[in-house]
Amino acid sequence: MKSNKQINFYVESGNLDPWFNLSVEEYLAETIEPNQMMLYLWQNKDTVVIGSNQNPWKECSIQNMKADEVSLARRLSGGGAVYHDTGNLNFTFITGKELYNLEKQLEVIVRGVNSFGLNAQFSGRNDILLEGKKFSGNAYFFGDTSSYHHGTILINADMNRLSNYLNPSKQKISSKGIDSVKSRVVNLQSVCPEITVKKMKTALKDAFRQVYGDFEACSHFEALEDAHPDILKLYEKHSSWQWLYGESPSFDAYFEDSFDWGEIQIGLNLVDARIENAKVYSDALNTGFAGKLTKALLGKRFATEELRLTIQSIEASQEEKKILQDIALMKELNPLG
Amino acid sequence: MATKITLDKMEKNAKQGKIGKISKKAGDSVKKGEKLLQVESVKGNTIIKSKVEGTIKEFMVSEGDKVKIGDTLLEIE
Repeated sequence: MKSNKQINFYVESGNLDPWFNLSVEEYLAETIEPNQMMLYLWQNKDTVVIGSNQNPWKECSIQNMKADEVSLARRLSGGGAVYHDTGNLNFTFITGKELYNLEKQLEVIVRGVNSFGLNAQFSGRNDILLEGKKFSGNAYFFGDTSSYHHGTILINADMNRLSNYLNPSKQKISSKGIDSVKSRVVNLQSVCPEITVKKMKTALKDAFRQVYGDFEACSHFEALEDAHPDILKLYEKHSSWQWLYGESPSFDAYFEDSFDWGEIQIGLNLVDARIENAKVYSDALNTGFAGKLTKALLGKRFATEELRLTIQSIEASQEEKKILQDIALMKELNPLG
Repeated sequence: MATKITLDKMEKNAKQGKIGKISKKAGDSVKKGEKLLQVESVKGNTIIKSKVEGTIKEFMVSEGDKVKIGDTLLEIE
């Protein structure tokens, strides 16, 4: 017979791959027992993590991310897009549903941070603040039998890079999903220079023990090849185009450009990030290409290479081919990912 | 007979939310426990799974719609 006694676990990942870390998180949430409580600490190398119901094209600059080798990841929890690097420490409280207690979980984080002589406070709006500035954003996921609460702790993250990847200036996408909210943020190290990621991990473990009691066991995840087959399966999902892009709620996209043959406007309705409807307007004298283009786009993925190849392989006259080639190479199609 | 799936309760007593990703469409057959859609509130993201087996007759909500407790989300028959 299973005991009802609460059992605490400490879990750490030594891998900086966001897809791996999110797969471990999901695996733990799927396998946790009702009487278990886990503190999981992890870090991602340069990554934009979007909320479960967000649209990457709307929330981040995919072109800048590709150029700088910044990864894109989608988490299960709600909320807005965040930028992670190794100056940021992530925590997750994974619990059986009955044990989930946000106030108590937040107490661990606030206690850990305040052990450095600071005065951090929960804002009530999912953020933990220091002197009115956010250093920790929190988000929540509720499954059938387990829940999790996770968040970021900015220690010495590169704030300048953040704006390169979040909130692209060209708003060509209107999404039915959740929008991100910009916040004034602060690195803890700028207020308290002695804080490092390593020291923060120790402080959080100590704070957890004070609030919940000692850990029964600790586990460490590191290499993908050593991971449980279920984690590998989740990794396949987390790294897939279907999850990162295709899980976006339906949205509309709009492109326009002008060439020596005329102007073109393309409006698309996307479901599961595939083109469900396309409308092409042009003032070109030769309009034969527009119908062919519309037809060819239907059902295609909203992805640069796929659209480019689709447009370039449309059967058309020489004159139409030239127009289609211009459209295929349209600058605005480049950032699609 | 069609089974109405309503938003009975939201996590952590949230009063209203927004429909997130809808994973199925009318006409799709679903098994018990299969993911139907997500509802996101300020309190977090919740996955709504099917409690019955059947075919989706109609979705009463679309992605991005605001919803509150008691609203009918879809019908399965």
